[in-house]
Amino acid sequence: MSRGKKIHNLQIICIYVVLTLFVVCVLFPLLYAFASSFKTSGEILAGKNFWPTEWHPENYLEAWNEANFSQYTWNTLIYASATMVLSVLGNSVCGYVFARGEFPGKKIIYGMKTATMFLAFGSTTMYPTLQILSKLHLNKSLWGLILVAFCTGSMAFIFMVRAFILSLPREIDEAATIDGCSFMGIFFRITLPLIRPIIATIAVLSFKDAWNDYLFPMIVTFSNPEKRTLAVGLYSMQQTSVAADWSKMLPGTIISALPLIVVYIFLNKYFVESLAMGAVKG
Amino acid sequence: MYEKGLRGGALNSESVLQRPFKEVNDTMARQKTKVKKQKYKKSIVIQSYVALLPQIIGFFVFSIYPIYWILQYSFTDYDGYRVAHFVGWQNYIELFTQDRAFWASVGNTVILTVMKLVMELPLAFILAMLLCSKSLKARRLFNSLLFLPTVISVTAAGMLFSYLFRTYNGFINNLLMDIGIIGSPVSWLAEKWTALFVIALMSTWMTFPINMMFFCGAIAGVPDEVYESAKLDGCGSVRRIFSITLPMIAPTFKVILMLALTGTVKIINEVMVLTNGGPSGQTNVVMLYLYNIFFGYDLTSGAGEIGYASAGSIVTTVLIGILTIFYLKFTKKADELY
Repeated sequence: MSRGKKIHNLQIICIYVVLTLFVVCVLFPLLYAFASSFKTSGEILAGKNFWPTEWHPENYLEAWNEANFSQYTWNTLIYASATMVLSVLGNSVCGYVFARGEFPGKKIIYGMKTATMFLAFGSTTMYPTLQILSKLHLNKSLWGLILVAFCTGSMAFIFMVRAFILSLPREIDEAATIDGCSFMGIFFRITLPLIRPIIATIAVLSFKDAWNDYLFPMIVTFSNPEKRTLAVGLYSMQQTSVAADWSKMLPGTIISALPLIVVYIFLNKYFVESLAMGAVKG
Repeated sequence: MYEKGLRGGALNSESVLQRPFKEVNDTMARQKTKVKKQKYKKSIVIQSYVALLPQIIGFFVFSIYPIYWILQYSFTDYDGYRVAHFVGWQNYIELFTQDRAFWASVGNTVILTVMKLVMELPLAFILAMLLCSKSLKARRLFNSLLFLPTVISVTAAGMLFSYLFRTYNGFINNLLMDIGIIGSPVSWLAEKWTALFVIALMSTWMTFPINMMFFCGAIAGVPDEVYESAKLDGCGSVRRIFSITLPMIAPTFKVILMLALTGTVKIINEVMVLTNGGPSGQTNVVMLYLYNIFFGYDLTSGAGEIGYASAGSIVTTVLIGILTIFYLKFTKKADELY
């Protein structure tokens, strides 16, 4: 018995050691960049020690002010928040209508939206989308992208909202109808508060995606550097600097990643949930 | 009289008795026709349509129209400025017969996908096995820490990895030189194979937690009794993984592989931030290649060979579609084998 227990304990210790090793490896790129972001350029180039010999927090001030990261952060915040609010609204309303609404053509519309999930055009439809946006005079700002996010929605989110609402008892809706609540009134007054967990998940994922999104934002803000987001700013900084100026780029990297890491620490339950959905988003 | 009256009364009572049933039947029938006639409540229909309107418009404008647009322009020589001329199948013929760079990029996409899957799936599976062990108390902590890379943007990740893998005094090079594996610094991002490796590694770093979570769910779904009885039969722990866990999670595994596969063949961002296709297009993947033709190599010029790129998009989409169908067929065959 005691021998079995000993083996068991050994096994647990092994698991802990291996997992800790993995965690260190996974977090290493971030930790290394964080430590290096406080070094002078000379020390970064020498690349000797892990921690800086002298800490230089002014690297961050430089990135924040000179490299315009304050502006980028502000833009990103607006872009990500607007995208989040609109995709929460769009997807949850859509899910509700598909769950509770009765109207001709429901099945057809639902089927068509589902079918688009399987079209694997990837980034190749960006050009025509940009043409449409330029017709709407929205091709030079992030608002066009917010509009696209609102109007296309994500089928994975709609599935989730729909399934959740279908699991709620219909009696609540009927009681509200008798009390004189309209169809959409029921959604905003009764259903929306009930589907809060899913709303939180959608909010977290759409915020994260918008925050990290860079290909399309880069295209629309190309001629308008003032409107760039953090991800775009970071990328263009990497592309334009002649010699890699790590003492500016590393603080920039940390600035762009830190807000989401902080949000992640507090809301990681929703992040983990949302990723399962995001993977099948298509 | 009495009899008559009785009879009449009886009749009467009969009709009295029947009337309510008849009435109920009548109202039910009337309601049925009412339901049939007004299956849709007008106000709900209107509200539903209004609520769905942005999505319906968005569906046609941002999902269907771009596909139609690409299909249409793939038969023209449109370059973004001049009037487009219909050229028939010329773009397609050129793509299939002359464009070696396109097929090289397709090849790179395949290489990258294989590299990534080979790295990612075993890693995700091993981590899921470790995280799933019953005696692990700090599972949530480990889970949260391992999930951290998923919130990092691809540009930031590109920075982190190009910093780690830089040629002179980069951490990886210094480490490998200290151990003695390499004699002189390797320029990781300037050689085709090493660059593809770094791209696959970074891509793995960014997405393995999701697959890890899928595996975790699948492994947790295997009933304990199966393991117990295998243990009694003298089945070792390694054997248990290959003979029980893997076959039991096979259906989930297929889904995971499918998602990883279709996700990776569309890879563009990771390549863009690390090598941008370089050195001289050797690490181009198909989406990046098309992107560059669409938008020109720098966004300033705004002129690309739109028609040609459109044809490339159609071909790529068809290729991905064939891959998906092939994969589904193949896994079905594998099912029959088992």
